[in-house]
Amino acid sequence: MSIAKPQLRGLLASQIKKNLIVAGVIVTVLVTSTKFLRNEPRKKAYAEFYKNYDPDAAFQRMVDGGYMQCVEQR
Amino acid sequence: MASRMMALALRHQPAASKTSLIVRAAHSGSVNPHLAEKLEKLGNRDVVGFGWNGEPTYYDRPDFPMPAIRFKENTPDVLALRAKEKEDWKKLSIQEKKALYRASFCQTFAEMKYPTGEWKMHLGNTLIVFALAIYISLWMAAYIYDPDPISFDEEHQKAQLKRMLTLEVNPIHGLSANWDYENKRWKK
Repeated sequence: MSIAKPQLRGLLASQIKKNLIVAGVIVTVLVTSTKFLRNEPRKKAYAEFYKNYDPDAAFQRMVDGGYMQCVEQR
Repeated sequence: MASRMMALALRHQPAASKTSLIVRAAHSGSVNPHLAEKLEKLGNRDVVGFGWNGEPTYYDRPDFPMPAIRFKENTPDVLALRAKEKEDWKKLSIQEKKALYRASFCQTFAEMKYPTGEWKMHLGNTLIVFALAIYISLWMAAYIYDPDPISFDEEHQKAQLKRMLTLEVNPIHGLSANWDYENKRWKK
């Protein structure tokens, strides 16, 4: 029964090299997926919200509700 | 200290025997009782190395495969096999090779690494503790805690929600994002 000769030297170095490659791949995948699946949609959502946002109308709504302690309700 | 030096010295010999240990002990002047007890337990076994700490102990460890002593004591047939081992190994039958292994070691790697199923006990105990914790917390809620404050009732919670929507809490991704301000109702 003959199997391939196992690696006898430089085991830590080869382990480190393999781990570095795996870590690099995983990090790249995770970072790009976070950017394109989470960050970009969020930025778009914020831009969309503030494109047509009327802050004065919103403030008037809050005053009318009686929730502003510093502004008299008319 | 003398016994430790003897163990260190014996490391350099391929197989020491008890007699050489006793001879060295006699030369050093006295045999300490610790060493004598160890020699008794050692019996007829060869000391074949330093082991993991210099003591002549045997244990099956996958991370340190070479214990300091052989497993079984030397008997005449084992010694005969050892003599045969010094010649061509192709002449040894598979039974003889296995006998030589079992004379020096208790279990094979496959046997010592075999899963024990102990994890099931640990998982079961953990789940039992979780269940006890849930029982206790339910009992506490039923009998020990004071009644909820008034702000927990339906009317007060509705008022709080109305305030949060009017003040536009989390208007982009959270609460107020789901409220339709024109039609005064939740978005579909």
